[in-house]
Amino acid sequence: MSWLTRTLKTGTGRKALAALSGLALVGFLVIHLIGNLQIFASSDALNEYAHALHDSWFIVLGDVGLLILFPLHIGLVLWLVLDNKKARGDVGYKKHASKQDRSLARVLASKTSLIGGLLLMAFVIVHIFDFRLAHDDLPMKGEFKDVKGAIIDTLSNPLHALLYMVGSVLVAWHLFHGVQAAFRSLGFDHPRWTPIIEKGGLGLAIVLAVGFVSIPLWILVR
Amino acid sequence: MSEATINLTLEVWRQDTAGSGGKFETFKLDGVSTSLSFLEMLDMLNEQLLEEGKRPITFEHDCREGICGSCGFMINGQAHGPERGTTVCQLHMRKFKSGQTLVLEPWRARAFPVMQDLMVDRRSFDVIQAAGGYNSTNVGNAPDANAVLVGREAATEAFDAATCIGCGACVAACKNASAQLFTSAKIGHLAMLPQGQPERYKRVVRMYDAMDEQGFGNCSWTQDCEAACPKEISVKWIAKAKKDFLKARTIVGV
Amino acid sequence: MTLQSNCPTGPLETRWTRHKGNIKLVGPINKRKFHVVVVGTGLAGASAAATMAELGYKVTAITFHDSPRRAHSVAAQGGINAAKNYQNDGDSTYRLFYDTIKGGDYRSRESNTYRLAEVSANIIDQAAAQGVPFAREYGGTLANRTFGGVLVSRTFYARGQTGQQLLYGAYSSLMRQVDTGGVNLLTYKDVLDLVVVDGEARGVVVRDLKNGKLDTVTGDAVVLCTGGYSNVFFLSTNAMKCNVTAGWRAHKHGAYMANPCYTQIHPTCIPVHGDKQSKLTLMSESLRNDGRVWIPRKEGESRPANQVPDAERYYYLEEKYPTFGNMVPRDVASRNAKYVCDDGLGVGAKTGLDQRARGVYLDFRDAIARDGKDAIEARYGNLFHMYDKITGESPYDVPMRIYPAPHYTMGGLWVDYNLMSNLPGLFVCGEANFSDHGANRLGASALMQGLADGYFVLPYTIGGYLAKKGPRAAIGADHQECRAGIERVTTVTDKLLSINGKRSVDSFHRALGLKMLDKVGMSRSEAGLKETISYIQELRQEFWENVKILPKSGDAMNVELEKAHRVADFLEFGELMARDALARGESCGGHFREESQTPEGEALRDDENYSHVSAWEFNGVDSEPTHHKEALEFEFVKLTQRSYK
Repeated sequence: MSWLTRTLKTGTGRKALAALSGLALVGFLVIHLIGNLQIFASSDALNEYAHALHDSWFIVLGDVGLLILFPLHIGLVLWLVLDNKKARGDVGYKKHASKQDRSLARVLASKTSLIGGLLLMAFVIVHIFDFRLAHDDLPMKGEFKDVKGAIIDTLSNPLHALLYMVGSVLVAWHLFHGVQAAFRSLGFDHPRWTPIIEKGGLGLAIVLAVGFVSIPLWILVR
Repeated sequence: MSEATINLTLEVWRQDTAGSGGKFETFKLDGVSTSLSFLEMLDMLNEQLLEEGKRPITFEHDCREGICGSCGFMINGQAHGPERGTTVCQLHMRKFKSGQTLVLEPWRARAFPVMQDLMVDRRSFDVIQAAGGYNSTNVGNAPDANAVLVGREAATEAFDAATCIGCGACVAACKNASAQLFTSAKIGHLAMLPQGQPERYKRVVRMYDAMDEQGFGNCSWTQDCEAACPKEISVKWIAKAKKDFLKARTIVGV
Repeated sequence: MTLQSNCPTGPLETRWTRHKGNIKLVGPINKRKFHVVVVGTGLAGASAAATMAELGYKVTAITFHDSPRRAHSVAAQGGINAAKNYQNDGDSTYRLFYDTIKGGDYRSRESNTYRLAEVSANIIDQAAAQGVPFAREYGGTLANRTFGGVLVSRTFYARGQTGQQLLYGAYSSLMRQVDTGGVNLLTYKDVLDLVVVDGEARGVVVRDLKNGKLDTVTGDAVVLCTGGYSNVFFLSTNAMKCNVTAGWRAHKHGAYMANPCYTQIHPTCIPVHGDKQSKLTLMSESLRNDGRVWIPRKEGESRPANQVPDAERYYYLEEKYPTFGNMVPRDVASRNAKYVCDDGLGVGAKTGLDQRARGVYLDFRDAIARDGKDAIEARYGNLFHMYDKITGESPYDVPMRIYPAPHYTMGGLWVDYNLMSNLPGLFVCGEANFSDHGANRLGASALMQGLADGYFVLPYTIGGYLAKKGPRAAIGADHQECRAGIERVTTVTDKLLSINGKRSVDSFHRALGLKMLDKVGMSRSEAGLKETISYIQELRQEFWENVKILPKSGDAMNVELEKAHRVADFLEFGELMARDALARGESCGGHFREESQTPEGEALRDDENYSHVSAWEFNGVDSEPTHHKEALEFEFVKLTQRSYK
């Protein structure tokens, strides 16, 4: 395994692994959203879906996968960040301004990816406590646990709903930069496909944001 | 010919020697002709400092036509100043307004220690270059230049990467003080050409390792490097070099 | 001492081959016992250091930059000639040789020039193997263009940055040797003196620019690849730090300086904008293919250029040279620009000693009307952009302003066929030597010569010298000559720092340059040269009494002190240039003596009296140098007088 440890010692190797773990997490988010959107279907659809999920080995895979991917992604990035801070040296700039002519949003998204990611991490912790850890104690509704009821219950609190909406936007913001950056960190560059990946990353971020925000919003205005 | 002049306030980083610490000093400079280059404006300030009995400001420069890569410092937080695709020696005072305050700082990076004032030591770039930034062909070994065909597109692309002047603006502008653009451009230039293939994977691994060892940061895809590069070298070279690096480590087995 | 050029004799085509065959070889095991000190890491220095290290010699390469990649070879734009005949247009080694020797106005050695043409083809092979991204045809073969008025396409190029790419090629070979330990690269080191032991060059004295520390670097031979001296004019297209110091201090140890008056002044540069100007920028000569050169007929014309009617425009090149018009050779174009500006007809900012406007129009109005803006943009877009960036004026809308600028120097330290100076053990390559271009250099030949010397000539010829000498005991830092060298530099440095003057180093340099350009530039006269010699003597005296250097310490980085050392040498060298120009009573190549011209005002060569190399021996700063002559003999080419009427 020396090639692996040697690769991980380099910033580029770690960055590539962070990118892979990030893309895997994006995959999780897509599945997560598809599941969540069952809330809009017939009254029991979400509960039935949750039941099926928790009954299968998917949940184990998901739990274990996320338990590995999240700390890995965050850990690798923080390690890189420490290196980056060190690289600037002891004296920083009095003034530092960009010369980019890309859209301000893209530049901001790239420059705030660390702070955005840390906020996202905080949100995910709250989210796990809210729903994943609470799952086993949920009351039954018919044959299934009443996941839908619990969600509606929690997100009926406007402050809580707002938190989830902000969290959803944070996810989108992170992906807006993260998806294209991940492909590039893995060495993918192509004159035709790279712009499509950039747009695709933005599209995916918007879909995820709209999808996730729609749930608390719907609950609030229902 | 009417000669417009402007008055400036300059806040300049002053530092006597490497490691001695420094501070900003403020100077007023009046009657600067707008046809001067930025470095000629500093020459003018230095004449003024000499008259006042002060040590002139040290800054790197040589060719003053944008090709040697010696010059470069931050002007109001921008590497080589506000104009894109321009080294500071090719920046002219007509880009500035009278009454402006300009903050001049050296490149800041652990791998570029400040030597004096605005001058930094960029020899870490040469360490990277020495770690494989070459084709190992002794004089006398070369085949006829037309024996190896190089498509026009490949030659053009290779040139685009090879045009890097090693000024260090990419490192200075990067929030992580990363040398990925410099290193990747050098790697990309040779990787585009058939002559560069025999050592392609060994080269990328060694040069990337040297880059890390010199204490440069990592790439966050902020793309400030490309915007600051006086030769406008694309960040695509970073992705290309990363691909070679990852391939070298995982598949080729370097 | 008589000058031995050591040129081979016999058939021209086989001279270099036979000479190489006769050079005594150093055995492969023994090569590592020889240590060569290379000063300068431009095209010539980097290529020489890398190639000697490849052969197995121990090499130390010295640069005052942070990196070899900064050397001013990097700025050459146009291209590099090579007699490859890839275009099948009848080029050959002989044709390149002939063009070069004729272009140099028959003031170079046939043997050297032929060798240059002969090895030119190998340079392209080597550069391509290094990965130099030359321009290519769609089929993948190398592209060529014509350059500098020759009739064949033999110029290889990499966009407008050929010098940069060739330098990076040589630099990469050098860094490979640094990587493998073959070359010890010393950076931030200024060479300020030579170490001569028993009449042989054995090393140099260096000042560390970071901390002012003096040290010696010694070996079995010293190679100077320190470039040209155009900065004696202060304003030139050379980089700011280009200087004559290493060569001049070698000259003071007995090395002869040859033909210092041969300078090339490039006609198409952006004019001086004011008295604070530090540097001139070259615009490609190709602009003269479509641009028309003119000035207003009326002195003090106040209308903008575009409003001056045709009848009041003086297209002086077209009128004086109806056949060649705007395409006359560099020196003719340059000289005529000076004359019209001397007459007060110049345009642009008023600068210089006489506060005259020094610029002429290069107008694309008619070309744009004829071919359309798009066609002109396709041809010159990047040059127009560069001009606009520097001057803030668009050549599509208003005529460009141009004026000649010193660009390249053909003179330099005298060397024999082996590139060794008359001081044994001191070799000189590239622009720093005098050898191959004669009185004028053809376009795209500077890169060729630097690399020919470094890759293909010196690495062989130096072996002959080293083999003859055999391994010798190393010269240690405590050797009396090393200590004496350091002592000499210390004395000069202390003296410079002790002057409590009022004038900056730059102001002396500027004053010297203005005078040199006016009187020892494009056009030279006996009276002007004599006046210049005494002017320089006075200026030099004032320099040593009134120069102001801050800080007053040589123990740390001190940029003003670095400049002072260089300007002190220019103030001595400039006088020798004027003396050389005075001694050469003919006009040839880049050297135009007003006393020697045809009735039409053309340069008039005098082969009977001046078919020689002038080599000057140093006799002390305030003493007249001794003039040695190396006769030039032409066995293969017939000397002709050029005419552009």
